[in-house]
Formats: sequence, C-alpha cells, structure tokens
Amino acid sequence: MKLLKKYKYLILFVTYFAIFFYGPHIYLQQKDAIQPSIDWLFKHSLAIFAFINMMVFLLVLIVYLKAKNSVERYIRLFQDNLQTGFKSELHPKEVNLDNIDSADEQMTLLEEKSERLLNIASTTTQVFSVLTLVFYLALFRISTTPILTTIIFLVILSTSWAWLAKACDNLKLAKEPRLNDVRHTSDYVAFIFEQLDEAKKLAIYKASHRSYKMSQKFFPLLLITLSVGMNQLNFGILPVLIVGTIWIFQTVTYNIEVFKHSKKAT
Amino acid sequence: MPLFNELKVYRTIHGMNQARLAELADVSRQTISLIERGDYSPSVTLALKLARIFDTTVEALFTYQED
Repeated sequence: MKLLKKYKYLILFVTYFAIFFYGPHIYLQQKDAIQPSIDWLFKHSLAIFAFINMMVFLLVLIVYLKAKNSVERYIRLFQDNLQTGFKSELHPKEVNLDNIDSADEQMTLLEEKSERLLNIASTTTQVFSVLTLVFYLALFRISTTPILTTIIFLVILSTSWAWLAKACDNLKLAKEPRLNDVRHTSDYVAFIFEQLDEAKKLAIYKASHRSYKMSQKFFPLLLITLSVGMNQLNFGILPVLIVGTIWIFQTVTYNIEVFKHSKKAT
Repeated sequence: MPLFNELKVYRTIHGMNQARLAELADVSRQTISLIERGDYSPSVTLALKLARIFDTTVEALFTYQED
C-alpha cells in the first residue's frame, strides 16, 4: 500500500498512456465484433443518458428531502435550545461533564447527518448539471433522437438540476440564522463569505487551497494525455488549447489573489 | 494541538448550551463545538469575547501546554 501511495502519480500516468495507446488498438482489432453495439450506444446515447439522468435525479431528490428533514429538525432544536438555560452555583472544579444535557450531542449528530446528505446532493447535482449540458451539446449531432425531444429533455433536465442546486443552497443557508438578513440582498454571494465566522472561513480556505493543489497536479496529466491523443489519435488541437487555457486562467487568478493578500499584509 | 480549554465547564456552570453561547459570541454553533473538541483554536478576539461572556479571563478558559 505504501508503494502504491508513493508511486500513485506514476501509476496514474502509466494508466493514462496505456489506455490511450492500447485502448484504440484493441478496439480496432475487434472492430467488426463490437461495432454494432457501439453504434447502437451512440445512436441512443441521448435517450440512455436522459433515463440515467432522471433516475439519478430521483435518487438525489430523496437524499435532498432527507437532508431537508434533518435541517428542519436541527433548526427546531436550535430554537428550543436558545430558550432553555439555567444558572449554576458550582465551582468549575465541581462540574461533572457527564451530566450535561445531551441536546448539544443531538444537535451535533443532526448537523453531521444533514451536512453529509447535503454534500452528496449538491455534489451530484453539480456533476450532473455539467454532464447534462456536455452530453447533449456533444452528442446532439450523432444521436438519432428527434431534435424536439432532445430540446425538451435538455430544458427539463437542466431546469430540474438548477432547481435542485438552488434548493440545496437555500437549505445550507437556512442552517445559518445569522445569515437570514443578507439572504435576499442582490450581492449576497460575495457578501456571505464575509459574514461567515472564523472557523468556517478557515474551512473554506483549506478546501480551496487543497482543491487548487489537486487541480495543479491533474491539469498537467490531462494536458500530456491530450497532447499524446492529438498526435496519435487525431484528437485535434482544440482540447489541448481548452485545458491549457483553463489551467492558465486558474493559475493566474489564484496568483493575483495571493498577490493582493500579501500586499495587504505588508 | 497543545491548546486546552474549559469552555464546556464554564458553559455548564452558566447553564448555556452551545446554541446559546454561539448566539452570544456571534459565531456559529459548529465553531463552539470545534473549540470544545480542541479541533480549532479561536482567534484572540473570539477568545476575549468568550472570556467576557463568562466573566473570567482568557487564561482561565484556555491553557497552552507543550507536547
């Protein structure tokens, strides 16, 4: 396992190369045997994707409803806890922590549950929102699905995922009574970060930095793979340009923000 | 983390739960929970604010011990 961890990027790199060199090779060798099924998949890709999309949407909707239930219970408990209270005359050394009311523990459990469910719902929502657009725009020409059906499905799926994304965001905000005043202001997205307390800000900093570092490792691998694909498999230069542009954009915006903050600090 | 705290003890003495303390300190309940568990070291401002709520000193609430 240690070796696997140590050489994980090398293994990933070799796997990418193997897929791009041997994948098409095997495909070309067995082309006649698998061609009909591949053709069928491509022709019906939009219909299959729409079906999968709907199924996933229903599953995520169930997860969302469970999360909503947990959040509502959490808010009720939070409001109840604000009302209760007592004044003890004990000295700090005399306090027995085992006798403390379990309301806090209940709230922590509910909080963790709702966070977990909401994370699953919003991550799947974001992934499928992107997949829906990419799939429909990329496979629009080769599919045999009628144009009107395609457009109807595209509109239905996009709006459903957009609604779910918004609902997840609202649910996350509902847990923060401190943010109630700014929820309906026009620039609340920019404002909301400033309103978060210090522990949450730190969590966002850590998550953003980790995500930045991960993508900095992923982009070169993807770029090399696409460059090989461009030369060996006629991918064209466009994917290489797009990934390169995204990589440059991310690096430049990150470094500008770092510069702004370091300037403030000096 | 070498920072230890007596937040839970003081909270119990004053009959507060995490939600109430969070409201008084103007932070989220999760922040209070993280501080109590020792997973997060509060800023100087928040530490002073918590000490003021419990009418005590920061040293009484938080202690620093080398590993």
